[in-house]
Amino acid sequence: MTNIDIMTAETRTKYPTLSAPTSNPKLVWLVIMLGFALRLLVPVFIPGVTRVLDQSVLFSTPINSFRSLEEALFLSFNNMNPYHEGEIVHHPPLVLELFKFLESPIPMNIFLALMDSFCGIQLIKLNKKLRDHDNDRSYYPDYVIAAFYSFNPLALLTVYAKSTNTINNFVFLTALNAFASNPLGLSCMVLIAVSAYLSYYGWYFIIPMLLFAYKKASKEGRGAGNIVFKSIFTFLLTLMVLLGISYKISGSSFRFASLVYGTIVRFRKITPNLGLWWYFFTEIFDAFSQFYLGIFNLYSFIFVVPITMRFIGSEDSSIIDAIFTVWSQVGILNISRAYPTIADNNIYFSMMILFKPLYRKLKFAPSVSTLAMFTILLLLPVFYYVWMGANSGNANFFYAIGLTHTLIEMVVLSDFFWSKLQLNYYKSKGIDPNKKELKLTQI
Amino acid sequence: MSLFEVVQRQVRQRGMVPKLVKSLPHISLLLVILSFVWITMLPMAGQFRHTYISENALMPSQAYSFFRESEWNYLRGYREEIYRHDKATLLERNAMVKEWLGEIGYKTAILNYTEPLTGIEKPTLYAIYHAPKGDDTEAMVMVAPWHTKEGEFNLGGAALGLSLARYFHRMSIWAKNIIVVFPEDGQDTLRNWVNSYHTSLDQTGGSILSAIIMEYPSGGDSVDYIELEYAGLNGQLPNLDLVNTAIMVADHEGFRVSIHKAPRGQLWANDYGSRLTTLVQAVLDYGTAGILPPPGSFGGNGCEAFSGWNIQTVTLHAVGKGERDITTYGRVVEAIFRSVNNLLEKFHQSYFFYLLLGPQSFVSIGTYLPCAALVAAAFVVAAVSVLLNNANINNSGLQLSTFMVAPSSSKVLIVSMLSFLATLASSVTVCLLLSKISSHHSYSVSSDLFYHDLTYRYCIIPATALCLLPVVTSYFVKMRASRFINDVARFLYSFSLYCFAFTLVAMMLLHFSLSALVALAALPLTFIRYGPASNKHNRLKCAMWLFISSPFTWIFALGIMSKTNFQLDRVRNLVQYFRYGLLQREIQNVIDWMQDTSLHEILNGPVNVLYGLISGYWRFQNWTWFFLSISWIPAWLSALFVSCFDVRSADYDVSEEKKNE
Repeated sequence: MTNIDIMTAETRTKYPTLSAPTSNPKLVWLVIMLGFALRLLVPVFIPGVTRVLDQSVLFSTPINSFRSLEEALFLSFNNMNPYHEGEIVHHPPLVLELFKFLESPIPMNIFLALMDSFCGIQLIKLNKKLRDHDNDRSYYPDYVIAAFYSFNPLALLTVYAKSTNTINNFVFLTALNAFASNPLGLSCMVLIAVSAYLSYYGWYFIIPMLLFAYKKASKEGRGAGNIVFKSIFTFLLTLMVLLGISYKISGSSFRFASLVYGTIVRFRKITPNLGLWWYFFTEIFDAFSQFYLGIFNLYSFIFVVPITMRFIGSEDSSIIDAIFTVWSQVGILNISRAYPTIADNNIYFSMMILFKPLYRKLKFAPSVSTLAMFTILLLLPVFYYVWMGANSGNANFFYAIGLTHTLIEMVVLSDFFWSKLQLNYYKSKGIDPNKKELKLTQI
Repeated sequence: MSLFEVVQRQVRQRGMVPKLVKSLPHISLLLVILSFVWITMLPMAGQFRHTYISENALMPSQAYSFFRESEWNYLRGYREEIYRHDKATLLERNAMVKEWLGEIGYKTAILNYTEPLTGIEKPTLYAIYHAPKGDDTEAMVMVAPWHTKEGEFNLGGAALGLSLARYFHRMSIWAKNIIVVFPEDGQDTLRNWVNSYHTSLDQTGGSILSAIIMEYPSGGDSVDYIELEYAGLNGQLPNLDLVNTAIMVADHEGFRVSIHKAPRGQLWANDYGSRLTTLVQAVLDYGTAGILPPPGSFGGNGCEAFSGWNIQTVTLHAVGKGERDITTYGRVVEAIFRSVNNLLEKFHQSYFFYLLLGPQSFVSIGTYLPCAALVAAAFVVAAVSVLLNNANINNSGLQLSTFMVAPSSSKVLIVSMLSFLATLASSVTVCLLLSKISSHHSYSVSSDLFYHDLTYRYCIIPATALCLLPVVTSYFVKMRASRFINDVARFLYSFSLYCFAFTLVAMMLLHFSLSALVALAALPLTFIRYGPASNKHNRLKCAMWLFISSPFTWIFALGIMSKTNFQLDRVRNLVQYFRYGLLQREIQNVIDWMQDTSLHEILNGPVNVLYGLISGYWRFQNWTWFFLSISWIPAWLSALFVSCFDVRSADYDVSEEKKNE
C-alpha cells in the first residue's frame, strides 16, 4: 500500500472537525440570504446580463428560452393566443399564466431568486434526511450545502438567464423531499406530476419511486398493490387536471400539447445545444431522422428500469438508494434529453454533494471532476463562437466539445455507480469499507 | 478495465508514483521540447499538403482577361492626372475622382471621417456599381488606399482602381455588385469605412464577400513580383480558397508570389529551410497582427480593416521593377474578381485555420494544433507539479502524501483564491485604464513625450524593477514558518498556472499563433521555485525567470525588433549556407545599421507596440491586450508574489506536531 492511502485515513482521524455535521441554523440562514441577495441584485443592477445569457445556447433552448416567453407574453397581452399563432412558445400554458402576473422585471426577479433559494433549502432538507437515516457522520453539514448551492455559479447563471427550468428544479427537489420523508405518501406523486407537466421527462422518476414504495409497503405488510395503484392514480389525476386546465386556458385546444411535449419528443426545433441529439438531425442525415428520433427517445428511457432494478431491487435497499437512483436518472437524462441546458447540469451537480459517503470510493476526486467540468463549460462558448461568431469553425467543433462535456458527465456518473456498488457490497458482506486490506476490482 | 487495473497495480508496486511526481517539472519541459520538435517537423515532406481549390465554382483563370493594351491608355491617363494632383489636398483629389467615377456610371458617395484624437479630416470616397444582372445582395470590394502601408503615395494603385472600375463597368458578366473604395490609408480610415458600411452608410451594395486591397506605389509600368498579405485580426484568416485563387491567378499571369516577407531570392525556393522560415514568420505575423502603430504613421497589412465582418480579404502589394507590367497586375485583380463572381454560396472551404509554408503548401489545423496543445499541457503539468509541492525548494526529500497535497484548512483555499482574484482584478483594471487613456490622448508620431513616459516610466521600467522584488524582499520580509504560508503560496501559484493554461487552451483555437507565442514567452514562469528568504541564490534565479517571462520585457523586445531591419530569412540564409565570410558580412551589416540609426528612433519602437496593444480594442476590436490582461499578466504577478514568500518546508507543521506528541 502506498503512502497516499494511509494518509487518507490519517487525515480523517486528524481533522474530524472538517467533516463533522455541526448545525448552525443562523449561519445557514445567513448564507441562504446572501445567496438570495446575489440572485436578486445582480439582474436588478445589471439588467443586460439576462439578454447576454439568454442568447447563449448553454442557457436557453427553444423549450425554455426567456425570449420566447417574452414573445408569448407580448402576444397574449395583445389578445392573441400564443398557442394558436405560430410555433414560438413551448412553455406550458400554466407557466405562461404565472408569468403574466410577474410580467414586470422586479417581481419576476424576486420570484426566480426565491425559487432558486428554495431549491437550496430543499437540498439542505434532503441532506438532513439522508444524514439522519444513514446515521453517518461523513455527510456534509448544512452550512456547506447552503454555501455550495448559494454560490454555485451554475445556479446563479441559471437564475440570471431567467431560465424557466428554475421552477421545474424547485418542483423536482420538493418532490424528492416529499418522497424522502414519506415514500408511501401521495404528495410526492402530485409534485412529480407537476414536474412531468413542466418538463415532460418528469414521469421517468415515478418508476424508481413506485418500485421503492412497493418494496417498502410489502416489507411493512401494508397493501403494496393498493398503494402503488393509488400512487399511479394520483399521478395521472394530477396530470389530467393540469392538462385540462391548460386545455381550457389555451383556448380549448390541444395544440399546446403538441407545442410543449411534441416538440421535445419529436425534436422539432433543431438548434444546437449541449446535448447529443441536434447533430444527428442536421440536413445531411435527413433520411435517417425518423430512425434517430426513435433511438434517442429510447436511449433516454432505456436505463430507467435496469438501474431501478439494480439499486432498489434488493430487499435491504434504503431511501438513500432510492434517492441515488433518481439522481443517477437525472444524470443520464442530462446526457440523453433533447434540450439539455446548464440548469439541468446545475441540479445534477448540486445533488452530487448529497452523496458524500460515496466520495471515499471514487476514482476521481470530486474536485478533479468539477475542475474538468468547469474547464469544458468555459470552453463551450469559445467553440460556439468559433462556429457562429468568427465563422471559422463549423458544427463539428461545437459538437466535439459537447461530446467531451457528455463524456465527463458519464465518467462522473459511472464513477459514482462504481463507488455505490462497492459500498453496497461491503455492506452486504458486513465489511468495514474503511479497511484497507480489501480492494474490489472492476472487470 | 482489467488491463488498467494491472497497470495501476504495477505502478504502485514498483513505487513509481513518487518518482513520477518528482519528475513532473521535467515532463513539463519535455512537452515543450516535443512541441518544438513538432513545429520543426511540419515543413518536412509528407507533413504538409499542397494547396488546392476546393470550391469548383471559383474556376480561377479559366476566362480570358481583357485588361490589356487598350485599357493601358486609360490607366496612363488616370495616372497622369492623379500624378499632377498629388500635391492637392485629399478633398480636391476625392472630388476629382468622384466626378470621374460618376461619369463612368458608378453611384458615388463620400464618408466623412474625422480622426477622433487628432481631428484631422480623412473623408473616404467610395463608389458602387450595382450589377444589372445580379440580385443586389452581395458585393466585392476593391480598395485603393491613397497611401500604402509604408506611407508612399499609392499612385499606381489609385490609377489601377480607376481604370479597373471603368473596365468592370463595361463588362456584362457581373452577378455581384462592385464597390471601389479610396480611403486615405488602409488602417483606421478604412476600418472606419468598413464599420460604417455595416452600420450606418446609406449607399450600400449588400453583404461583402471579398475585398482586394491594391498597393502599387510606383509610378512606372513594370512590376517584378507580388507580395501577398492576408493575416487578419484576432487570428482570423481569409478562407484558404481566396488565398489559393489569388496565388493561382498570379502564377498564371507569370508573377511569383511572396508571402510573409520572403525576399526575391527565395521566391523560387521550396526547400525545408524556406518552408520553416515562412512557417515561423507566419506565426509571428499572425500573432502580432493588429498591433498597429498609431494612426498617421502607416503600417499594418490592410486586411485588419476588414476583420471581424466575415469578409475574405487579401492585399496585393506590387514590388520592384521586372518583366511584368501594370496591366498584368490589373489582370490578376480582374481574374480574382471574376472567380469570386462565380461563387454561388459563401466561401466555405474547410480551411479557415491554416499555416502557409509557401505559396502552394499549407498545414491544416489538425496538424499544427498539437504543438500549441503541448505547450499548454506543459503549463497544466506545471500546475499539478506545483500542487504536489514540487515548487517548494525545501521539499527535495519530502514524501508524497495526501496530507501534504490537501490544503491544511479551508482558509488556505479561500485566501489563495481571493489573492488570485485580486491579482486578476487589478491586472484587468490597470489594462482597461491604459486602454481608456489611449482613447483620450492623441499620439503624435514624431516625438511623443506622453506615450514615451507611459511606456518607459510607468510600464517597462517598473515591471523590470519588480522582477528584482524577490531579491529585495529576501532582506527584510521574514515570515513565521507555518504550513499556512506554504499552502497559500502553493495553491496561489498552482491556481494561477492552471488558469493561465486554461486561457491558453481557450485561445488555441481562436488564435493559435498568439497562444503559442505567449506560451513560449511565458514559459519561464513554470521554472520559478519559492523558498526561504535565506536562499539568495534561488531568489536571484526567480528574478531572472521573472524578467525573461515578463510581458513588458517582450513588449520592449518586440518594439526594438520592429525598428530594426531584422529579417528571419537572413538567419535562414546564414544557417543554410554557413561560411565565416557570410557571418562577417552579417555582423558588419548589423554594425553599420547601428551606426546609421538613432537610439531615439529605436526606442520609439516599444512605444508604438504598447500603443498598438492598448488602443487595439477601440480602434480595431482587437482583443490581444485583453487576452494578455486575463492570462499572462495575472500569472506573472502571481508568480512574482509567490517568489517573494518566505516559505519553509511543507512538512514544517508535521515535524512540529510530532515533536509535541
